[in-house]
Amino acid sequence: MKLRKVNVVIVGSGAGGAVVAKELSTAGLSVVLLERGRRYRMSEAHHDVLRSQYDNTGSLGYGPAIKPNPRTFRLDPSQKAQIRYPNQGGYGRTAATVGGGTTAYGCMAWRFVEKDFRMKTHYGVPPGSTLTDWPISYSDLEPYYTKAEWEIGISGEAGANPFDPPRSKPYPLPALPPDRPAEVFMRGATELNLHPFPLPLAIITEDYDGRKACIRCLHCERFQCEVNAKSSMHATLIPKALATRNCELRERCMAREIAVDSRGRASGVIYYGPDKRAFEQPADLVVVSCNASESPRLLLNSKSKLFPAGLANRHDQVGRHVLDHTGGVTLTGFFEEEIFEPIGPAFTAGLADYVHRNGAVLGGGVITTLAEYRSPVHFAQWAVQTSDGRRWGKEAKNFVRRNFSRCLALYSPGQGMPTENNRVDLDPEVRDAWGIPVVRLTHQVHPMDVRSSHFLRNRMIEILRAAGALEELLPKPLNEEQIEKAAKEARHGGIGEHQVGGCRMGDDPRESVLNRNCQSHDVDNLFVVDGSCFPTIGGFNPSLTIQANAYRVSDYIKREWRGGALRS
Amino acid sequence: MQNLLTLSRRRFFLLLSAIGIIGPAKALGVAAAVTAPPAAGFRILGQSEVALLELIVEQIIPADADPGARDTRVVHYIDRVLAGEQNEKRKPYAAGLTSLEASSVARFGRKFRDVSFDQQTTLLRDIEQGKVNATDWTAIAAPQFFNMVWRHTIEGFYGSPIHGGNKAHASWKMIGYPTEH
Repeated sequence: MKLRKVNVVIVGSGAGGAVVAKELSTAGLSVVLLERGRRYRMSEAHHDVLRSQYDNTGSLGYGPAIKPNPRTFRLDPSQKAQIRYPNQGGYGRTAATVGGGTTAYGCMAWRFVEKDFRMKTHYGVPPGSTLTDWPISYSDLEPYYTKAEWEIGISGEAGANPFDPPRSKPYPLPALPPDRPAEVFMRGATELNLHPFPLPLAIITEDYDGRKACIRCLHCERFQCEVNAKSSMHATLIPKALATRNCELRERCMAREIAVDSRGRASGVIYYGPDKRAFEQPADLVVVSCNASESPRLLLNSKSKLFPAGLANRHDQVGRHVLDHTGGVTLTGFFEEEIFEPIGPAFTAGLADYVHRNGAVLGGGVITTLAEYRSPVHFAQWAVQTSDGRRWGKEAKNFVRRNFSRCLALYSPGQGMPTENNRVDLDPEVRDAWGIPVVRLTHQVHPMDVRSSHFLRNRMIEILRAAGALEELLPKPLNEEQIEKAAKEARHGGIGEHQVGGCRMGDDPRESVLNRNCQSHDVDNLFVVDGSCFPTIGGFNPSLTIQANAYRVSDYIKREWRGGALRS
Repeated sequence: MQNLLTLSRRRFFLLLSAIGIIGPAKALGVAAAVTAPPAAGFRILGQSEVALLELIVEQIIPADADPGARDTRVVHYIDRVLAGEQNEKRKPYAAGLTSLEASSVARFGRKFRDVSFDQQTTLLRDIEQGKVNATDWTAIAAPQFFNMVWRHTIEGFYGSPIHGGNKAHASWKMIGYPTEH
């Protein structure tokens, strides 16, 4: 059924789509916001670790639903891809709900630093990678980082991180005082003359913009906030968009393809409603905001006479260079002292000493505290160390009883390397519950990812040791020779919640999908606004950069808007 | 493995699966008929299955000064999972329990319930590591069965009581995790 035409149809209500919806509807454009998931109301908030977003126990708290949403995965193009479901490895999931990943995330709200936008210039291109520069720089994004921090509501302490890039304004909200894990972390870092600081978080620490301050519950990451102190899109920008009365949110709508007119311009989106009935939503502009797996999928599924290989894919670039913090590491230390405190948020302290400045290791990343093991189920599954290596029996139970409250976990999103063959395309056989061809992910780590992992892991061991972690339960660092061997032999892959790339932005249409304004090189009224435009990933969690960039692109659209006719 | 152990938990899970260490628990066209009526108070597991699973989960998390998996109703948790959203694992469970009994008889000449606690431990360890006669495990691989039961036992014991296990928040009290939230 063909619906009434609007100015803009946006597919996906996460960190990218929600910003665009709010900005364009506020500017007076009529907007339809399609979301495959549904909205979770505050009254539905819960803390059930067996129904969280990250615990891989049956279903996911905030989608996607397991059985209707298969994908396939393989390590390299010579293999036949195997079916994966959202609660299995190799899937590359992100939440499927109004607000997207911001609903259940850990709320770290980082700015990338200048060098993150200039990786090729700074490091050259490692063999086998497609490392490149962004077509925009930090200074292009700075005003929008500031706008995002103030509109969305970010807390933090400007100036506390000596490696922060310049900022035009402080954070709108103060950082929280350190919790006990942060104190232990800072003790170790200070001992090593590193520079720890309280993390910038998408959590309001005082009443702000009509919302109530964080109550410091234990269950911040992996769950929806029960008081909406988490600055998730469904609690912040989406209500603002809806309040303009120019934006209509349609939940549980699964986009199938982007429709194209006879001149090769996007004419709307064809989607299935909650009852699986097909609709066509015509629009002057189409904005795709489904992130690095689903945005390429939607473009590739939009085949037509004019675009037989899928939309915006003239140079076979859609889906390529997809990457994640594959250099990401977690490490846990165990202590004599009690560290566990039944309060939140999930991440509280970090340091940026190993963001760049790491010799032959490219990029590096921040190191932060991590609430990973505040889930008893997760602790018992992953943290246990016993003399005979058994994860069960008397000794394993003793370990959990003794150490659950005495551990400090650290995390680092080390930069991964993009490569030509790490990509999303369509599986030739598998279809989802709507009959739409699914994502086939091909992904294998680059040797630099392994070097980066071990580099950061060794630094974490130093920090935990300096903080007083028990030596006998601390992993041993690998030496250079062991790391090189691991890098050479590495044969694993997979992406997760931080996935970016797949619709690179760049100045050369032969090597990118989007121009610097996230506008398709091929189709001037088609935009992709999410993490998939990232040419490289930065050593930071990506959400604030997705949001800042979405503000920037929205400004461009507002500026160039001519009732649908855009200059490309 | 050294390399994998450095990676994040989420990533760790992703990668293990990617290289096939943890396969999805597939319904393997298991032949074992599942016809016995559910035990009293259970939704899908039969009486003999409940009795055998109680022994296995108690091996995974034994009672000591604090309750173990049996007394905290972990088998009830498993029963609910198999009757509900993971019903595709119901047949692999039945098949695995049958295979486990066969391995016990092959190893000790007696059923699992009739051997000592330490003998049970030894056998489960061999099942976990696949050091059992493969002809007894044709419908499901021994390590796959063990992993499945192990995961469910941890979930039932350490997860929220609303799913049927962790009776009276026993595990949360044991580790100092808040029971009110």
